[in-house]
Amino acid sequence: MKSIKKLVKTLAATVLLTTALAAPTFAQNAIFHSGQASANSARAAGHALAAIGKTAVTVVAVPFKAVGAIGVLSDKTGDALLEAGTAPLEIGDEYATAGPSPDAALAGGSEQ
Amino acid sequence: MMQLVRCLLVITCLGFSQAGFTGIGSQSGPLAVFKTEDIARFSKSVEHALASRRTMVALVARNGRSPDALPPGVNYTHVGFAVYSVIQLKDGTTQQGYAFHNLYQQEEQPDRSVLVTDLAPDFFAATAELKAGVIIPKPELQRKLWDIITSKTFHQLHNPEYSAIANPFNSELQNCTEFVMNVTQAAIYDTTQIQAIKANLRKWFSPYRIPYGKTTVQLAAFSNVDIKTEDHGYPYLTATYGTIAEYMAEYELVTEIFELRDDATLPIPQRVPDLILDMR
Repeated sequence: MKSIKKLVKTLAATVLLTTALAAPTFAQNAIFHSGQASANSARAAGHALAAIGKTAVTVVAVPFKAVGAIGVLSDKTGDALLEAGTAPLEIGDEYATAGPSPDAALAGGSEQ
Repeated sequence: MMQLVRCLLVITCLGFSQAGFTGIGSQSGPLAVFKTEDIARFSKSVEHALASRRTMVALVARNGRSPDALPPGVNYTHVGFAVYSVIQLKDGTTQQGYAFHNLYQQEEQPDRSVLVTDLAPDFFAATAELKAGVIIPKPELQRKLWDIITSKTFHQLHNPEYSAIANPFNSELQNCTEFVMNVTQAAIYDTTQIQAIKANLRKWFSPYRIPYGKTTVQLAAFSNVDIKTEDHGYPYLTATYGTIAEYMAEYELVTEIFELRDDATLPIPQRVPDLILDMR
């Protein structure tokens, strides 16, 4: 009987310890989280996507008033653009990805 | 007595298996579920979904975790701004598409973050599901967001001190959702003053209540550098894509909120019913 009690106590302690150890891991993985994984995998994906896509070197946000200037819309200017038309904005066909991280680019590992 | 022993044995096994399961999905990257071609195709479909709605700026979310590992009411793990852009390619050609402006946790220093501009395939590379949460702000808010994102204010609103469970009601620590809310508040209220941004968030925004007890979260903070509790009281509160969507719907800041799943677009209710909002 004594040995059974000892076993129960040991198991109870193990349960508590296991729960305590498991909980932080769970919380870390499950709670909202911005994306260390994303940064890692984005780079990995960048290399994989290079086989089917192209690397971007610069990205410039299209100003609202310049939408017409790049051929998406014409004869309209300003903020009314968003409400004025129904035609979709143009999207390029290439599968472009961002370049490597700045440190990798500086180190010369920029080919993707 | 033997029944108790059996019961404890079962619980012990479950505990170990939980630890083992969650360990698989920790810091090593996304679940390797999708082919590169699938991610590229899905990324392009998200861009077309935005373009067909003539969107200049949208909030877009992806889920980088197994759905089973997410707390109740959380469906996405990362959110950033998609901005209609001219993309110059390495071969000298240019094309239009969406650039994603993000706060990412640093790889080498997980308790710090960095602002990164990447493209749709990069944004969705870490996805565990081929789905995207999309919030399209009203045109006047899109214009204001564009002004902020393309200004130095965007960087001034970034706090690199990172916590995965950052409290959005103060500026001590920050995660991606808090950063998105800061930028959105700056646009809505035409302010760059962080005190004003936080005051408005405390008054109008209902965050997500983390459904874990104090001891559990403190143990998590003890063993993970990117989980901190010093910016919290109790209960622990943080911003999620769902609470941001609900806030923007409630105050009529959007033209549309939808979820894009592979090839099918599924509208979601304006009020998100699966969120835990009992702290209100």
